[in-house]
Amino acid sequence: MRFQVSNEPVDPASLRSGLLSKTAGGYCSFEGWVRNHHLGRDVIRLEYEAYPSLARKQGESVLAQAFDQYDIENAIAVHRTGSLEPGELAIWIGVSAAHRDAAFEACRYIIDTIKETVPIWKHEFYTDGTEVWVDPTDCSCAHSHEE
Amino acid sequence: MNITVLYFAQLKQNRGLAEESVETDGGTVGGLYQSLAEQHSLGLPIEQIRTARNEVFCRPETPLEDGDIIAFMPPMSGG
Repeated sequence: MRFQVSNEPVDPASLRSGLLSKTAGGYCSFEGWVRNHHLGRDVIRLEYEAYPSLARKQGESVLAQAFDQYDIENAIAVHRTGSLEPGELAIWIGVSAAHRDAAFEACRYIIDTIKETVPIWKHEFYTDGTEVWVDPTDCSCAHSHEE
Repeated sequence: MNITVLYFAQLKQNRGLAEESVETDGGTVGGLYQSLAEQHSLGLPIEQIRTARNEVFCRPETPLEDGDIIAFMPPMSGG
C-alpha cells in the first residue's frame, strides 16, 4: 500500500528511507503541519476524520494517477487521523524520480489532489471554546482568496 | 429495500449519528439524500456533497439497490 491513513504519529525518516534508491536522482517531500491559527482565530487542536476504506482506495488512485502522469520512480503518502496539536505532522508525501522536475511536479499534484478528493475532514477547535468543520468550498473561508 | 447510510464530518454532527439503516421504496442516491436532509435538517444541499455507493464514488443519479451502503460526505478538507 503506497497510501496510508494512520491514527499514530508519522515518522518521516523511516518513510524517506523506504524511498532511497540508487536509480533515483532526486527526491521531493511535502509535510503538512497543523497551524495554530485559521482566519485570525487561535487553533488549540484539530481532529481529522476519515472514511478509512474509501480514503485508502482514493489515495491509492491519486498515487496511481501520479505514476501515469509523471516520470517518477516511487511515491508514498500518509495522512493522519485523530486528534492533533499545532506543530504536529498531518500529512507526509514523498516522491523519488530519476530527474527532479518530475519529483517536484508529482509531489505538488499529489498533495493538491489528496486535499480535493480523499475523504478526510478537518475539525478545528479554537482557544475560545468554539469549533468548526473546515469547508474549503465555503466562501467565508480565506483559503480560496489567499493565492 | 434496506439501505445503510453513513454520514461524515459536518453531516454526522448535524444528523447526530454516524450510521443508520433506512427503509426506502427505491429511487436514487441523491433522492435519498434529499429526503433525509429535509427530515433531519442536514444543512448541506445535494450539490455540495459527495456520494459513494458501496465504497465507490457515485453520482447522485445512481439508482439504489437493496443492501447498498451509501455514504454522504461534505467537501473534503484533508491535507
